[in-house]
Amino acid sequence: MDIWSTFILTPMVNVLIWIYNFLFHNFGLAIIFFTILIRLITYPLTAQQLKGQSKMQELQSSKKWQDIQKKYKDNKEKLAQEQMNIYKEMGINPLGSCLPLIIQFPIMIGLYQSITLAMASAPIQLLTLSRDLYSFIPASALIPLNSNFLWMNLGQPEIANPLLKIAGFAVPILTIIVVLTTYLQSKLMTPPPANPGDQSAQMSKMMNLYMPILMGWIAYSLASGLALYFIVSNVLGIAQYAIMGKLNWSNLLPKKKVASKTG
Amino acid sequence: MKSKNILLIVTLLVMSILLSACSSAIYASTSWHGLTASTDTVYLAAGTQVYAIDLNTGSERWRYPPDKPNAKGFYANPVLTADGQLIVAGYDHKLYSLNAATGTENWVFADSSNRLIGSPLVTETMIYQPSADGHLYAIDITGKQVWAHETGGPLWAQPVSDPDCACIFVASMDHMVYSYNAQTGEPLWKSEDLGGALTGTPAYSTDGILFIGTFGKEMIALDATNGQVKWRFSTQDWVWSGPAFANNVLYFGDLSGYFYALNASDGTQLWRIQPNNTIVATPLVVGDKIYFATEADTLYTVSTAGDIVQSKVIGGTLYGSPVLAGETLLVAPINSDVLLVALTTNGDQKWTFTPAKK
Repeated sequence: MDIWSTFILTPMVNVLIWIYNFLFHNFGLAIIFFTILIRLITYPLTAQQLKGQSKMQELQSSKKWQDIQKKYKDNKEKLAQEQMNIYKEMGINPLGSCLPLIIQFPIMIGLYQSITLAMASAPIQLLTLSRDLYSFIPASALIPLNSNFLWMNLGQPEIANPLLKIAGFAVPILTIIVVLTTYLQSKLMTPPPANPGDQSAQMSKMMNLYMPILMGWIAYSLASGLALYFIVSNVLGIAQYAIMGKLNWSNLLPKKKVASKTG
Repeated sequence: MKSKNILLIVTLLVMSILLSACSSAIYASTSWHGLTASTDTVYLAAGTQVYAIDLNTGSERWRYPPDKPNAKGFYANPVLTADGQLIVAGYDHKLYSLNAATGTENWVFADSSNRLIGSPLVTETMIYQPSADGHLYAIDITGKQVWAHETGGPLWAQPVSDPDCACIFVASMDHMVYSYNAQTGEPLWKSEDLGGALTGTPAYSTDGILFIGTFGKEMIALDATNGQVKWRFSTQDWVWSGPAFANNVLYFGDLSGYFYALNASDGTQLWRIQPNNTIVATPLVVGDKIYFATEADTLYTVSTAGDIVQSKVIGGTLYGSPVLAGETLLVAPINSDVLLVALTTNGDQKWTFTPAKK
């Protein structure tokens, strides 16, 4: 067994199945609860990320920062050097807000994998699962997991068992919700740019556009259990930021569009 | 700004590929290859394509689909009908009838809503196809559905039949065995919860007993007339496949690598060995020799007294059952350079098969 399986995947899949055992053998509820649990565990990372983000935002709107942007706008090398000096002076790690996000990435992948592995919809997956289960999991009684939740089979893409068909075409309801919640999350959680016209603001704008499409595509093409995870994770992310008072509702207002055009 | 956008798009694309790869590596349609043989041809369901291979030379006769491989894949053991059809179950939810001589498509049955992991049971006039959607589909030999019944869980095991009572028996992953009238589909009985998922084809004795291995770490004998448990035998680990039944003895392995011989009358153990590694497939009994494969890469030959007569390293990973065609023993490894290995019954290699690239 490799390091990834031993420390990430196997513990996650066992916790997921353990939760399933307690939550009425309902895999949909298990995914929801498991996502909440992961969000709670990674809360310190999220809080750190937010803190770093706020500091950075504060810095970027400071006069000193604006001045050096203007002063060295034609000398990128000098600008970078000056920026680093300011980071040092103010005790800011420029990667402070990114690092927690990067650390969360493997957790996210582990979560996808544990959901798909737990559903074990093919023989080799099931063989793998049989070896990965800890002895306290009553595997004989639980396997195979009941993957039906609402109208979905969580082990299959949603369009395999669509709830709604219009003119013969399956409507991917979960995918639509994933796109919407990802868009909302991106918009609400992006801090207002210090300079709406600068490159980082433009990058954020592009991310807000591409990310929902990317997540929607993944939700559409892979098991609907993953789409359920995306939705719960997005909603929890928004709720978490709301509780911390960090939601940026102004991003949803049309006046921002005007601001960015002028910038 | 344009270069920044391109960078962002490339980053997102890489991320999406990474995410998809991470998920799909586990979600992928993964199983081992299916194998069957006639007197002169071997049929191998090797994932993306089905191959017909000359039994004597190991050369390819045809492949299906002939051009573009089926991305979802074929893994169940194909089954031949008396009228020359080769019935192949697909992970694309479809059941294919091919002309066994030419590989051309006769018909496709597409009513299943999930993967077809188990092989069909073929009788003279009917095909009984288990599906991971939980249904057992009864189809006539022209591909038209006659009846279908849903069990409480996915069906991965090939059904068995008793021609005397016109009964079909199918083991479900909902931990139960179901019996149906073969013609009408009328449910006859279902067993109690046997304590674990059932993925193996039950062995059937002519005196009306079904023998089934379970994920509850047991081999269980059921009365085929009513589904009542006659005896239970505890194993070390999950039993994946059904046992081989010969001369009132059951032979089977478990996932811990133990290989058992039981008295079929009362379930008492005659002997047990543990050669090496996981045993998934049903063994093959030929006269006084028993052949079985272990996951590690070895094909074992054991005497009916439990002595290891021979061990032959095949390579790759062995999950499928060995198949005997005439005097040729066939083994289909996965994770190997070759898709098929043909041996004499003494274990000497005759030929191997690797498909030519097209």
